[in-house]
Amino acid sequence: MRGQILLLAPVCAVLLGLLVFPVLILVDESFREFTPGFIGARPHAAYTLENYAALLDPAYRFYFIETFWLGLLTSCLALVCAYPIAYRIARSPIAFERRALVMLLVVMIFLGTLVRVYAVLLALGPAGFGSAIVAILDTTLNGIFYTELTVIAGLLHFTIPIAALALLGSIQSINPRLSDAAQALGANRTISFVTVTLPLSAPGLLSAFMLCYTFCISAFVVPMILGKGRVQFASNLIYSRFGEVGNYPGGSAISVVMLVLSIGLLYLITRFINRWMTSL
Amino acid sequence: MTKVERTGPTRRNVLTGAAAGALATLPGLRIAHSAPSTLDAITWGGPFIGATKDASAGFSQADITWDLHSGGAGTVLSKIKAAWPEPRYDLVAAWNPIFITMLNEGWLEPLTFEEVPNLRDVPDQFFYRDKDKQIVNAPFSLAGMFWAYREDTAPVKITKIEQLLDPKLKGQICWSGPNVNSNLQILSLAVANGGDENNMEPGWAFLERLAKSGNIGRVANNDTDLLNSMTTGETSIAFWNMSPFKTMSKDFKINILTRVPNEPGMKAFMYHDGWVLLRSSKNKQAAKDYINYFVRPDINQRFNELIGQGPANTKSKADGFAMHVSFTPDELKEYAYFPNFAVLAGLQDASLARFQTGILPLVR
Repeated sequence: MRGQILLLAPVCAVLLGLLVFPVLILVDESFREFTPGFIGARPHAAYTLENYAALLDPAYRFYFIETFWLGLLTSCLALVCAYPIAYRIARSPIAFERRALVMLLVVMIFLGTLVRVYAVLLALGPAGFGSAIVAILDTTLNGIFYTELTVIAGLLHFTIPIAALALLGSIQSINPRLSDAAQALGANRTISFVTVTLPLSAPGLLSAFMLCYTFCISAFVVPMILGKGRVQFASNLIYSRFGEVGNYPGGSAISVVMLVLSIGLLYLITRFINRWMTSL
Repeated sequence: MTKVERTGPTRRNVLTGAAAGALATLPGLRIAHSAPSTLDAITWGGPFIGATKDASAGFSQADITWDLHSGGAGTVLSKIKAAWPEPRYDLVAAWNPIFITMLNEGWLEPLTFEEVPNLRDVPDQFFYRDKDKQIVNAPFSLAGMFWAYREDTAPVKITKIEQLLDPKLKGQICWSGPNVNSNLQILSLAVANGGDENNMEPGWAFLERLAKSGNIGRVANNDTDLLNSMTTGETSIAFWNMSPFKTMSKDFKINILTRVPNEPGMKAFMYHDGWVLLRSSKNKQAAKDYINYFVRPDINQRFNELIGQGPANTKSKADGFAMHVSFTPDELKEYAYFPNFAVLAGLQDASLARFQTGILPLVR
């Protein structure tokens, strides 16, 4: 027992110092009064609820809803796109193919963020395929629908490789003979996949979804560049307060609200999925 | 007695070698002692950093490590605050509203004419002073912000602010974010509709109409956003500072709207850029030497030629592009506007909140 505590102590110290205390400082800052023209709360600034009251404006609700909604949509799309990739890798009989595809996914994750985002911006902009795509979709390049689509495309660029790698282990652990047995008993390939393989890969799907969703709702660079300043995530609101006007208290309030909402939402999703898995 | 021949080093050899080695390194030590010090400076990206490095190439008293503002110069304030009293930077390139905030925070080192003699050639009205009346900024560039558009892609020829609402301009306006350009873009709308820094409501009312019109295609947060947007043809009209318009004018016909008669909103909203030296700097002498070098007439002229702005040193000459904001005394009254940045700096936080709650939802 003593040994376990000693082993855990350094990690706990790091977590306390680099996670818990900064969050506590953030919470304290969020209740401080901000004086325009200065950076952050003045020393011994009075406590106030103004920073939170300001967030009751309906416009802020919209930013939070947009962040969570686009995050949810992107995560679901990422799973849909990543599952076939992970399945192919897991079930491929050719070892070279498995290794090559895994390496491709890993390389994609390590590509520079700005390079990828600007590549999407140019590819889907007027200098790239943007004009052709908007003609098919019957929309405009500067319309909000296309802007949101561009943001989703940018987020998928990051989340598909992550989801595929997260799903890989889960699919590999499913015995392919279970599917064979279902087909031997009369199920076709689709039904055996839906009733056998998919439920058994639910833990992997949940992990992949959590990874993607966490990435999406905390995304900053992708909405900042691809959103054209018109699609703004909560992270962009936080940045503008901290970075552009020095309103640390206001930025802290948005951060705290985002933290609470994110933890609450992820808890509910996890609980729902676990209940569904238990009922199977 | 048999003479024993010694092999290997002897004490005499070792001591002789050590003394020779010490003598040999002395010149190196002298060189190390007189090696240039290092300065950390931050300035804008885009055309600015290239021009700054070009102009600084002849400065040999210190090695300079460059960093770039992440968008507007205001973004450096949080970095300095977080690290104060030991921020990374010695020198910060900033402009009027940022000078004011830094003064409020008490971060700026005074500059005297004795230490920076070339500042004597900068007009007094461009200096900011601390509570002891000491100069705290070194202006290097006079500039303006104004409306401009790409003639080849803009659907209409613009001569009035009201034309920004023209339905033909759907998605064509690249609007600057609320804290880029210190909200001078809204001030231009306010002035066009009878307002000023102390009464920005006419500007906000017009901006609301503009947002609802669907004519704003992008909200840009930095020079790069603007350049990408206008050079790819995504948008064709913007209110911005001179530097990106000068860059674009090399490849596109840009119509600069600073001499538009009878349109108060289409003036040049004047400001200046300059260096400030942080009180925390450990290389103040080298930094002051650099400032003195940068404000020298020939260097100041060269730098401003590259970015298309007007030199702050009265002995320097303004080049072609800077003539857009170089006015005769008569023209100044009609075509130039000198904003009260102290008022604008105090409005920034409220402007950001109002833009995000009242305007952005309409731009969507």
